Amino acid sequence: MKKRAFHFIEPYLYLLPAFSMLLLFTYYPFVQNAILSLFTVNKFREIKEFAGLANYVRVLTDEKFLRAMGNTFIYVFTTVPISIVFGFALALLARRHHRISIAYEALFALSMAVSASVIAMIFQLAYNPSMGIINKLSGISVSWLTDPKTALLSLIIVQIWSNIGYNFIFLFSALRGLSDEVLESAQVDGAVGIKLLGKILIPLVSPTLLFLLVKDIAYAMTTASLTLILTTNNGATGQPNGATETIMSYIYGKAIIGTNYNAAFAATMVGFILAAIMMVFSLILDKKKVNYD
Amino acid sequence: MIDRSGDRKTIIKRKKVVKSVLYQLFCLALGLLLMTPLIYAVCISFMRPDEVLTKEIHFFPKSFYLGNYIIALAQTNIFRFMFNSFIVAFVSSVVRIVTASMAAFSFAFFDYRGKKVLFYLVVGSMIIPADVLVVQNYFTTAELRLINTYLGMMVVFFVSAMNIFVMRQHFMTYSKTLREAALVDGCGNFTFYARILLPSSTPVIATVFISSFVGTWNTYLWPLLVTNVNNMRTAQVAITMLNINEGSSYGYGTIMAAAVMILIPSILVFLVFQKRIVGGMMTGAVKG
Repeated sequence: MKKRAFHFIEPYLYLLPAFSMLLLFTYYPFVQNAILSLFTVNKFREIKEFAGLANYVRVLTDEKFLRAMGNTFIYVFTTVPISIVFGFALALLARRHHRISIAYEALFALSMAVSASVIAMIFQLAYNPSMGIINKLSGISVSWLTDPKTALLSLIIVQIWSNIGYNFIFLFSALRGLSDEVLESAQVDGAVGIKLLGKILIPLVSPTLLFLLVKDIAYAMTTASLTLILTTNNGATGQPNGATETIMSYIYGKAIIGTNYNAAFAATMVGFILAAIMMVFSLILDKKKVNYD
Repeated sequence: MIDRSGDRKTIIKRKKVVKSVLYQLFCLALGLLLMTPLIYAVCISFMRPDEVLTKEIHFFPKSFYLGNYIIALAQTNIFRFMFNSFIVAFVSSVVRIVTASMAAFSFAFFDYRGKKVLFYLVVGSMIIPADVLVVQNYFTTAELRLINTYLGMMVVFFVSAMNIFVMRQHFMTYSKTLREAALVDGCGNFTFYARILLPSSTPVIATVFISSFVGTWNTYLWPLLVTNVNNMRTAQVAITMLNINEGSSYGYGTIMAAAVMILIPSILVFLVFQKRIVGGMMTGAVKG
């Protein structure tokens, strides 16, 4: 009997460590956040009363949050496509094996190993109005990170740089993985240059492109690191004046720096829903365009 | 006639070689151009303070000045910060492999009630971006009294749905007959998992370990949230605190020296294992 009982529960036992962590740090916080966002809570997170959608209404009519949403969308629609295009272009350049190709492959991919905080510190110096290399070389005088006109652009540039290595390495391994016969027969059929790219290469690596698209969107929709490191001063996130505020830095400011949990929890749900919609949207694109053959 | 066509052939061949060399040099130059920010950081880290502050344009340091490194090493506790990062990255990567491989073992080799639903729960968790959960997880960690502890800094990294998925894909290709033979020989399931399956899966384990190590070594937001004493800061958090805006007075030379030092481990791991990372990504993440 004992043996049979063990036989029955054994497969579940192997799942236990993973699932206990998954429940505690993914599903529980998600459900908890969803529930609490419908209530008014005090600064000890004790439920005071049912609030319905009032927290959502308050957040969605908060000008600062709308600005944060706008910035986040700008962030997604610039960093994601640009860094994928760059990564793809580099992958095309490195596609063929050459004597020293391992050297430039490594250089193209290296930004993947560089953390957000290190690259942020490097660019903070590069953007410095008086001693930074960017103003020195270009001869212009711009306060990149403190001018409302350039602050968000400055963060976008850093983010694109960070993403290139990751996108490159995926697309590069996808292109290298294509069989020579497919490419040769395509070339025999007269597919070269743009035609080869559009008709053969892009369709063949489309699963990788889709994977990167979903991953990059999810990341960009929920990022706060660069804003917190580069444009948050004295507890005010997303300086100057909200120009670089993202949804996540707004949440961080509300929940961790302030203790306005009502706004933070509702904003978290809005952030999640927007990210999910974007991901589902790219999956629909997948059904129509992506070639898995 | 024959000689001439031979000449033409060698000329064409030579042209091809020249073209290929030029192509490779172009790619190399492009790679270096892309890495300008890192080269810039290395150059600044060897500059004297007055060289950094000057308005003149010069990219390369005038001399091989080590003062910034000495200050960073002597005054900023950087070894402690790197040690903290190492503990967090190493232990959470090991734990991840254990949790992921056990779950993947269950999914790949057993048939049982609810398996599909449980697997969907794993895959489904991937659409919840981790950063969306940090605030609630911070409260959980605080309630467990894990603020400013290594366990608190690591606990959210103990499972990765992606790793479970990758390992399951790998285990599915494992020969079923081999497992049946092992079972017939009286080898229990756990023995099979620990003694046969894991040792024969070192490539995928190495891939998961390396990408997980680089990822957790580089993480910023979570360790920022759950630490508030200097001693427990990870390198990634500590470096942003050397920032002039944060009230400390280290010059940019020192900050760049610290940046270069904390870059070295992740770049080394990345370069040494680059091929393996690429291979692992392909088999696990995209196909299937």
